[in-house]
Amino acid sequence: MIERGKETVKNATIFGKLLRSRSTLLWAILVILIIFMCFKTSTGGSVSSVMSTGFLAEGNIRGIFLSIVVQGMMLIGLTCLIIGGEIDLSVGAQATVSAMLFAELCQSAPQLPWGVNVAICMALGVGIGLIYSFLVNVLKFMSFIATIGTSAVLSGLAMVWTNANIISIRQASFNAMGKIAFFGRLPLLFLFMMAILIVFAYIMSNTPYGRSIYMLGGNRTAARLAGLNPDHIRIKLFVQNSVLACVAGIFWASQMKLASPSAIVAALPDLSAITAAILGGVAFMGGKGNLAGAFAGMLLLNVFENMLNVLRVQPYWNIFAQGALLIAALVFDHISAEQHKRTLLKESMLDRLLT
Amino acid sequence: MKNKMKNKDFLKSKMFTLLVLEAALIIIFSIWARSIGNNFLTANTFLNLANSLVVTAFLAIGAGCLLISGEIDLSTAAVGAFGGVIVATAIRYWDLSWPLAVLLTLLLCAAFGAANALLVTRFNFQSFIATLAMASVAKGLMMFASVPPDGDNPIHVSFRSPGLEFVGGGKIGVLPFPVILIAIAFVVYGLLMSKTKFGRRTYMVGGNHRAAWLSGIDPKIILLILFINSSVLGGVSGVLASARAMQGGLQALGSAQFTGLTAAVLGGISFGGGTGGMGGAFVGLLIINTFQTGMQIVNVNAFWSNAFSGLILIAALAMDYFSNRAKTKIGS
Repeated sequence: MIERGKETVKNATIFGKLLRSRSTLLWAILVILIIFMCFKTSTGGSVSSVMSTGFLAEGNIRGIFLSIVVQGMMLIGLTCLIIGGEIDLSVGAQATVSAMLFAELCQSAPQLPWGVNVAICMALGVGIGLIYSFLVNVLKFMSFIATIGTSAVLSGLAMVWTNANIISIRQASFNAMGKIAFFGRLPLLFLFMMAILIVFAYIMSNTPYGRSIYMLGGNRTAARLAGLNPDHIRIKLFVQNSVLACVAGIFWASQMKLASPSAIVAALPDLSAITAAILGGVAFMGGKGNLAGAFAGMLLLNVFENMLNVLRVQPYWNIFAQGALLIAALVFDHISAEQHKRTLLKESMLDRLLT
Repeated sequence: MKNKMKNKDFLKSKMFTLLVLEAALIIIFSIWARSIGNNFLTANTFLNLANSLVVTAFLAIGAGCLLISGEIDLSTAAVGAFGGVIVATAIRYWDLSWPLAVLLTLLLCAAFGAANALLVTRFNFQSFIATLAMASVAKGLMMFASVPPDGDNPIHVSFRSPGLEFVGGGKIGVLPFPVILIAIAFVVYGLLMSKTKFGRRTYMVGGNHRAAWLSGIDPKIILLILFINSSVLGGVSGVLASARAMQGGLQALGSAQFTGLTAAVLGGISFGGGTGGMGGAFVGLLIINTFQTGMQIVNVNAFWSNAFSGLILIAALAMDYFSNRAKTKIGS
């Protein structure tokens, strides 16, 4: 029996762990997809044509990065929320309202520096987050139904605001921020998003606050008995999620130079972010997963979507694939969790028999 | 004496509160409409009200039954829109007769329900995420189904069928045919839920899943039936929407998802299951539709209605929370 135990320890070296982890699988699929795309979509055989046409072309790569910027901001907040055992189905609507507010402020008070407007939008995010945590903490709503309701309220308000018209933004420096890209391919906003992602990944894995989120998501009662205050953690989670969603809306506005009351929600970013997180190994019931995996999931999702575009597959298959992928990822999760449970059970039974 | 008790119970019941709310809404809107020179209390208004019930009523029934069993289905509107396009495509491009087309549509919708039930019971999905993903799948398939044989892009499918035209807008006497259909549906489902074995078992599954299982009820089968039921009812409302417009529209049933859910919750069917009934769901539906029709008559911007539908859902949930809290306080 003791020998068996040693064997298990030996298998769990860092290398083995890396091989078995979800993100390694995702990165591998991602690399294969990208290599496939580079050769499939370029018109000629030479290296230069690979770089200038098809998948690796400047416009295409920038397009992927720009959609990742908006989704990524939402992904960060949502991943933390899901790990903490809650969910928010209104990040798209929050981003919309924030973008509308920002554009409105820019239009009605152009003399104000736009940094102030960003701060006001972030304050809006804090407000929304506080409302959500009130609904969930005090009124005991399930978070999905509370946020479905508020999603309708927010996107409805955005439509009422301008009678479904767009507002264009004329602040040159703000629009430039969405346009700057290094090497023609790597947008500045993407680097912003990556920086925030890294900060949050650090917070989640290395601070007491981050670990308490895992504990809350893993076992609520245990977390409370261990002296954590679930209500306080949930307030922080909802507020940070809403602020990130509001900043995502501003990033979207900066890329498009306008704010639209329907465009962000129509792209279903909420569902994409959730799918990405689940694909990346975040457990839907909370307590498991990390931001690196979720980010890999999102890259994969976006490259896949882009592949469908470049190969001229009709866009409605994208919508179909989004749902189908989410279901597939969850089924996969369930099966692997069940297998894990079964092996644990078998080992403990064996141990009992042998001793 | 006994009769008096009964009266008192009724005065305290949720039904009474809802009826008072409905009456208050009618009074408020009549005064508001009068003040801007319109008239609310006309026969036309009530006909509009009845017509606006048509599409959402079936969604409310499906959502209500599922909520009683403790689950939720967020895909009914998308499945309904899919059904609406399928029935149009079947009649226009596949040359099916309309009863056959409707049958095919409902069968396909039932498949979605079965898939939802499989995910929830076999793979332990939370029902909201399973059905949310299924909604996306249904939406993609709907667009695929609406692509004409000689084209590339999804487009509204218009069709001609006198039979379906009658189903969607025909009249028997003064009453529109679909309104009669709704009345029958509410009565049938009301009896099904309150008087039959199946109905009682549904309440039991919703009230305490494990206790139901221990007492010999198989929750999986109950949930399978209910999910299929909800998808089929979604399909029925999709067919009715198409029959009224003579067109399978890509935007059909857009916000109807909420209306159905909200009506059920407003009518006293609480999240978590085991309580409420079809009568409450009907009055809840009536309140929401009175509100929406009223807003149209007093000329409020149509975009407000979307915002309000979410607000009413949250208000209904909050009401539910407070009434539950009051109950447990009395109990303890």
